[in-house]
Amino acid sequence: MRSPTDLREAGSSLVEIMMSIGCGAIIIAAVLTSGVALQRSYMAVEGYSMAEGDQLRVQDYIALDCRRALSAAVVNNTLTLLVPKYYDAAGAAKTPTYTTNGAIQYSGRVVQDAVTTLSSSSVTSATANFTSADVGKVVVISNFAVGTTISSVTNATTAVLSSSSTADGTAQSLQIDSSVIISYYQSGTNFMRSVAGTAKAIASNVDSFTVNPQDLSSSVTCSITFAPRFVYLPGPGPVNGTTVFSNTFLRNAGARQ
Amino acid sequence: MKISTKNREEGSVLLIAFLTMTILTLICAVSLNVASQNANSTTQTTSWQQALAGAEAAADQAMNALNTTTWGPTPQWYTVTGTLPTTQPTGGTAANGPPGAGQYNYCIPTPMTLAGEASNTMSMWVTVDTAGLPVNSSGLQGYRIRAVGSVGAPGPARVSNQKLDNDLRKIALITDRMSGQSVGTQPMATRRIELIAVPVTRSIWARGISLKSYVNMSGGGSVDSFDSSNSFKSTNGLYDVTKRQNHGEIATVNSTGSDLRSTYVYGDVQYSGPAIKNTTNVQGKISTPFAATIPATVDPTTSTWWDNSHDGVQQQSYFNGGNYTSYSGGGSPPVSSITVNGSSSSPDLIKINGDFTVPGGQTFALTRPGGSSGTQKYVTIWVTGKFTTSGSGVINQDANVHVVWIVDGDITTSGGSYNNQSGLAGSVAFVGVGTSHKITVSGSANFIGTMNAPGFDATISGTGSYSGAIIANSLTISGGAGFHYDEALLLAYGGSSSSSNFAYASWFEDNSAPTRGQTY
Repeated sequence: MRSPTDLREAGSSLVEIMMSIGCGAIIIAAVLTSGVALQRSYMAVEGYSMAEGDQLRVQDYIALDCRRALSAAVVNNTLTLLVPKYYDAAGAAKTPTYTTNGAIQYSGRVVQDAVTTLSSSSVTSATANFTSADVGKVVVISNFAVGTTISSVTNATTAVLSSSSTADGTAQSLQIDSSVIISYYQSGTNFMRSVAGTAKAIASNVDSFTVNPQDLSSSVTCSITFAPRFVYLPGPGPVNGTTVFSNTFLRNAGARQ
Repeated sequence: MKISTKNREEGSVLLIAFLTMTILTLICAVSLNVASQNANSTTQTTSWQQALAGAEAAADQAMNALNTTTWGPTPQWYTVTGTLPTTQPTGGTAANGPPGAGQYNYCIPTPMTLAGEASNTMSMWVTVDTAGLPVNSSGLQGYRIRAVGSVGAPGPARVSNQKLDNDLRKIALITDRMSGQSVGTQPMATRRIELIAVPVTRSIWARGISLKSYVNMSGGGSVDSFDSSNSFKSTNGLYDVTKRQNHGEIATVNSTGSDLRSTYVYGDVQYSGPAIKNTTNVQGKISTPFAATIPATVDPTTSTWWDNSHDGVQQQSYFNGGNYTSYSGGGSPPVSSITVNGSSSSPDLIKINGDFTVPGGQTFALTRPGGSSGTQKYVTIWVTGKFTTSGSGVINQDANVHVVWIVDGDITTSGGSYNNQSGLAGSVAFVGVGTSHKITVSGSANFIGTMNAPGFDATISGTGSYSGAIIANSLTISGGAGFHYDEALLLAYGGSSSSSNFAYASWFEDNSAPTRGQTY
């Protein structure tokens, strides 16, 4: 048989449960709100960190390659740089040499008797000894655009290049396979770095990319706008993107004296 | 039956508390881990950027040593025989000059102390060697500078959470990628740069055309170079288009109003100011700025005269000069012939008060004494007025006579009226003094000589050409006139076989990873 005291205790539990439920709801609401706020804060910080990383990486990549580039070109908002190959196939650093006009070169097959013809993509050289293995290799020669490659080999003395000559020329210096082409451009929302034709995204969430094509003989100016990663804000209005600038002196192409 | 309600309630509280603490702990741990990775990424990035500053500081030490020929004691350089090291070098003997073939000099500058976050020390080392480079066309040696900067990357040895950084910033977490040596417990950011330092000559004739203002070209002429001292680059010391060279450099301090009109320039173009128009056919590099100071020319004084060095700077003592004579100028030469007997160190000195004019039908000769065949003779002539050869008037200058004309007024001449029988630009030097004067070189014959007249506006016209070099305020080349810079002027007048200044010819950073196929 149960005592009356037990029944009174049961009645008190109802009030306590209701109060507990109320308190619990408040606590859960606070926890949920805090959790959401914490998560948003975390996402904001993470987004900022990722954006900063992307911005620094893009700037550092462009600066690194521009500083060491032999030449630069801008076509269709794509920045193309010619960077010398520094190591040989055995992994040994190459020894630099002078070209006939006093410039420094690091590697590659070099001939000094190349002949070019205005508006022609053919180049001839009695000493080049072109072979089919040269197809696709980068060449460095006056009167041709930066990044020109060998499209086909006609015979040992004649090759067809991927661009046309801008002038007649004789006794031209022709470097074969001495450099690698590095390009920067925007592809969708990715910012791409292409090395010898192999592209890789080095940043994402890119809204726009602009290269200043002026004065390529001494400097290259780029601006890259990143779309915001964290867009939730309590106030109205759009969230601005972040634009970073890169202005790099072409140390191998400009006047230093 | 009694139900133990209190016991069940106590158990639930404990469980909920435990779960809550676990969740909070996990949240904290994840947050700390992410924050730690972000901090790690940041320190690796800053260390990587600081390492370049270290490498460049070391390269500057090398440039300073080359330019000042100071190889110690602060900082002390050492000479080692052998090939360049991949790790920080040791040993060797105290350097007393630049390295020779098969040697390298090295220096380990005092590490720099950094303050604040990230690493607190930047270390560096640098080597200088000839790299097997041949001497340049002036007979001067270039050097390779290889500099390494290293900065510790604080934090655990783990890759950045910014995965895309790893191809760019090759942080040495366990071993150095270039030396293969262990970096110990401290990850390192190491960057290596390689520069080629080439000697720079200071002759004012280091280029063909040096201007203070605009250059205008038109017609079918061109600018190129040749070398009168090299039979492979000239024929009998004269310009030969089939042996054309590509050092016809043009430089202007203020390019405002310059227009090449697509004329061919076989050489580099340097300028300061707005971009030069129509440079399509410039075969060399176009660069800016050209931050040079073109020294002014001055008249002789009672104590100094221009000597025959042609460098625009050196003057000789008047009292150490040779024979001194003065004449009155006018519409005809004061004398029909002057016999020159001065030497290079003591040239004859002649002052013509007023204009010097050789009108049509008259001649003026600069000869050498009889019996002095093969001996070079030198004279400096100061014209206080204008210098003019007109019509069929001719100046005949003996092949063994060298003359410096100092002219205070307009200079008007032509190739046909100035017969430089040596055929060498180094034998005829005009020094134009003052401003707002003109130089006019015309005709169908080639003018061979140099003109240092930074205050004069020069015009080269006609079908003849100009062989030599020129310094002027402005230059207009029209007609079919060509301009051919004589590279022999560089060494003959002002170029030095012992270099005193170096400049970077190339700059390269080794960010390669040969084992991963990255060879650049």
